[in-house]
Amino acid sequence: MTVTGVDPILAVALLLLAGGAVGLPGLFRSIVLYVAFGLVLVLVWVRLGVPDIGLAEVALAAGVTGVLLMVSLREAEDVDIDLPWEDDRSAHEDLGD
Amino acid sequence: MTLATLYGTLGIVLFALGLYGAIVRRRVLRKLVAVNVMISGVFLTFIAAGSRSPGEPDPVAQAIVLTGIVVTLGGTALGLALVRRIHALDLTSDPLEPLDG
Amino acid sequence: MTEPGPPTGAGSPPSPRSPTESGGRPGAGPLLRIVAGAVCAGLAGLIASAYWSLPDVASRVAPLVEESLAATGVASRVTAVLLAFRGYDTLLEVTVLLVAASAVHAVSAGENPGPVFTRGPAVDALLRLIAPLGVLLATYIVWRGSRAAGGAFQAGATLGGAVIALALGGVAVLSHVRPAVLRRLLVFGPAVFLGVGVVGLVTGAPFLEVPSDIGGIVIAAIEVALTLSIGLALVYLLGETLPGGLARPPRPGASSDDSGEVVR
Repeated sequence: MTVTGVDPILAVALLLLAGGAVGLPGLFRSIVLYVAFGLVLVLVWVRLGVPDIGLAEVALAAGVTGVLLMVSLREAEDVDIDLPWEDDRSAHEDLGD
Repeated sequence: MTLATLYGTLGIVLFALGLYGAIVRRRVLRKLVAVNVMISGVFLTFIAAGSRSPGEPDPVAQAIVLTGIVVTLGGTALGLALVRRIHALDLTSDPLEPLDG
Repeated sequence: MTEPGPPTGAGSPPSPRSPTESGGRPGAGPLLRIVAGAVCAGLAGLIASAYWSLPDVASRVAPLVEESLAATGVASRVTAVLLAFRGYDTLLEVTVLLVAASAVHAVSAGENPGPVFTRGPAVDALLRLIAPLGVLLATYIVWRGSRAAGGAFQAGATLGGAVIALALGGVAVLSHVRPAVLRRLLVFGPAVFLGVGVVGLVTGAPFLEVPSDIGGIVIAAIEVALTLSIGLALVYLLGETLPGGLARPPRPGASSDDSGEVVR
């Protein structure tokens, strides 16, 4: 199989999302970017011709892991998830990283 | 360039990126996200390596990655449960901080 | 996703943290960042050079799978590998999931979260749609798993996801089932799998060997059992972060499937 136009786009998207999930400040943002990363990865699995893994990825890695991270964040913060546009909370958040 | 080369290399980069995050990040939750990125990279390279020859990707590689996804989820869930437990016991002032301080 | 009003996590005392306290710890220093970055980049280069220099030979196991696919009684290669050729892996994997679920259950005892969603017309409509659709989709995925993409893990995840979505909205479907029954259901899948393996052992076949003439039916039975157990294990993995997601017998007076107020 050869590379077509969609592959570089998927690759760059994956890199950017993973870089954001690891590198950008803010726990909430990190989790959201990780879930998005998982969803783009599903498209890559389809491109590679492995729909079995795509199904498992979308349900387990993106879905359940995302819920787990989100619920744990909420639990740990004791209050509702701090949204990125509520900058007073996310500001102190960034310092801790 | 073939798909196997592109996505195999991408998986290796993702692995390194996740490893870097797992080392550098201080919050346990972020470490877990980074480790998950790292493991995704391993899976990607594994499947890409199994699809170098024409035809359907190696079914054994597919089955092993499926197994790996489930085991990763188990590990992540347990890690998060431990983070929450540490917070509940108030062992640190900040639940998302590591225990070293 | 946010809840209006004061935090509802009533079980744990409010955290004594203040913003300054949390920000007081310095992050990783620049030296650590540089060293870690260099090490990771070097490692990536090393692995990449190894990957690029892999000899271009075809997989040796893929033809073997192709050859003996007919003997398993299933048409999907991945399902055949998972449940027939590499049954050990799958059995141990399910066991890992079981152990993780038990560990999370043990560790997270006593957590007392509030509902995650604020129930309202939109969420209610969504839940009403998602729950039956999840069950239907899970049935379909496990049913077609013997021929095409799909199988116990994907179906279990879909089933578990439906229950989790309901629980996030505060609908505790599993609280109507007794905990003892749930615990048995959790080990049901691995037990069926192991049982098939032992039956094979008794009749003279190797451990976990599925007889080829009834292989399709036996594998389908294992898959259905595994789907139920895996779906439940996923719900257990979220521990008691799920309001009413796990089977706690509803306290008298607690309106478990009413909106919001899940009292423990």
